[in-house]
Amino acid sequence: MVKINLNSFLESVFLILIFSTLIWAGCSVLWDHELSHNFPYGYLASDTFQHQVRAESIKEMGNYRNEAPYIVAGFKDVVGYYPPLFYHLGVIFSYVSGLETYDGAYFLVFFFAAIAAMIMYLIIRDFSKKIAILSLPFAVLIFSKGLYAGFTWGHWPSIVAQFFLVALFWAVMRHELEGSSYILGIVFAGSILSHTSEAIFGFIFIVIYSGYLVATKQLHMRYIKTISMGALIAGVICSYYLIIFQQTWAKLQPFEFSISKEFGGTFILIGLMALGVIISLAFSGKKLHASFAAGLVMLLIGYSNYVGFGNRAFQARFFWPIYLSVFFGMGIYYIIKKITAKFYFYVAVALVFLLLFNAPIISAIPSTSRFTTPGMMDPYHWETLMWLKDNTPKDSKLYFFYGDIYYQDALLRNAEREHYLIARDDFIGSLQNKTIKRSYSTRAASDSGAGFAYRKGFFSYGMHINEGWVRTKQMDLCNFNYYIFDKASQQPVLAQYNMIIANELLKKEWVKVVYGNNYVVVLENKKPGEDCINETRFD
Amino acid sequence: MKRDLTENIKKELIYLACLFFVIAIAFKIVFYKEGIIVVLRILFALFWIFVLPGYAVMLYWNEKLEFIERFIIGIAISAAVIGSASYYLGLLGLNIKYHGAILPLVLLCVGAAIAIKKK
Repeated sequence: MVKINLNSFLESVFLILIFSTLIWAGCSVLWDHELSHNFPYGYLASDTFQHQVRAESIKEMGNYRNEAPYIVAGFKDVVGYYPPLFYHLGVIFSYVSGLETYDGAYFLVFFFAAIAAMIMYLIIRDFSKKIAILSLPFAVLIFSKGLYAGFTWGHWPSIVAQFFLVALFWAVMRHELEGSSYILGIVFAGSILSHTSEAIFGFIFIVIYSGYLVATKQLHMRYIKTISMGALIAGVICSYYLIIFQQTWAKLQPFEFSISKEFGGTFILIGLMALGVIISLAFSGKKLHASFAAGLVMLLIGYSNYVGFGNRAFQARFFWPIYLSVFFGMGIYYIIKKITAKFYFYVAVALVFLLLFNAPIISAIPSTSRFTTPGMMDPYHWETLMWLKDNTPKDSKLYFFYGDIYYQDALLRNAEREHYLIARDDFIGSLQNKTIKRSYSTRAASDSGAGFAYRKGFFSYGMHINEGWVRTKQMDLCNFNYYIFDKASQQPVLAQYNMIIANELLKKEWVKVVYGNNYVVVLENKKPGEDCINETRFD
Repeated sequence: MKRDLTENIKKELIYLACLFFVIAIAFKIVFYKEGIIVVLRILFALFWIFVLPGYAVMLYWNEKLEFIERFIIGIAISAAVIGSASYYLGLLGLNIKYHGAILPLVLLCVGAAIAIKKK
């Protein structure tokens, strides 16, 4: 018969409760309490589609040796340059769960964030179980206004990398455990292969923590061996990708010193946290616990925007409610300890409710930012993109005219064809001039972040971006195979101009309507290269 | 010693089954508009890809760490190993559609084998 320890049972119930609350507050409300959807749901920015499409492309190609051509302006030899781990997990999860990639990969981001909170709980629990219980509720604030954008705007690889970063803190804390270097190396590699800049946070943490150990004469050979071995293991696991990273991102987007002044936080929370920091430092005595060290380092990194770390500092803040929860928990513990420490469990549950629902009551305390929205995509545009994917030849060139959602252009990659988008300025200028043109300023809607890097040798890369490629240029409409027009817009005049151009194209007998729904119409040009439109004026 | 490990695994597999059941109920409440089959498939996927391989790998630290700690950290280890192994297996030519079956199974076997060998 299995004997269950009551304390462990209660702790498990508490953890499952918080885990479920995190999934509810982050994912379920946003997704209208469903797990599977008919189109990408809750996607609020282009970057969300960037990751969704890349995962989908890996699913279709079977590997991530190269970028899919429709992601990188039609180039077929561009090496897979983005940190690959999250995409692979998303695809595997999609296969096993039966969810579409757009639901499966997105769900994993919330799942890993919730597990990161659990790992932080374990780290704090090593110091004090009561403080850990009081700290955990603050994790729900990762879904508060501002930070929630990390999820809904698509900072997914960064979030997954920070999940591994929290696991790295745990591994450093457990460095005396036999074989812990393997854990450290594996989770460090996970961080590098998810989003490399977060791995640098891990490196900074290890350097600062080691410096502290040296300064306080607590550095032991066991610690040095574990960290060195862990770094070696991570290096070996990531070596292949790190060469790609060094040849692409590191060359095209090297560190740029940029200062911004954004403090963040609210008076009450910062006050509570400051109390926790002071108490933590005062009570940590000779040995600074890993939970405090991690919290302090991530607090400093989160404010490193003041010394030039720019955007990377803000990405670290996505998980501040997790990293810094120990200080909140510590502050509350020492406040309620004066009254009675017996009720800490009930206080924790009350905190969860306060942070979930307090917004209308005490505006100085942040709360979760819960809303349900399908986001940018809708069934009509999704059906159109899927129609293009399933019904057009693979070498087709698509031309998207004005659409309200199209300028978050990563979503267009779902058509899985080489595609171009009319430049908004030229479109509006031509509308104001009441002209129909054969050639418009046109944007190659592609991911050029790593310069379309291709491999010349193992350590030698070329970049198509440096070989005469330009993102926006005048392009002849008649060279395209398909034209996509939105029939409706928040600015009706823009959709009306779309229809005027479409009707002018349809005057040529080789241009036909091949698909349409309530919002979108697709025309096919059966004679690309031939004169397809009369340049004219309209009234 | 091996008998102790076997007994412990038996006991903890019951814990894992209970956790699956309780989290399934929690997920059904949280995603109340979703069908039970979809909820169970997703939970099965989470357990198959992350929980069970992680649990198996963490058996090595069976005597040093509590179940709850091994359970949670195992998820991170499994995610890192399966994600990076999948990347390299794909580069070596094995289509990713097979990875969801092969990699968790390999990790389960390797984890269990290492734990048994240690004993």
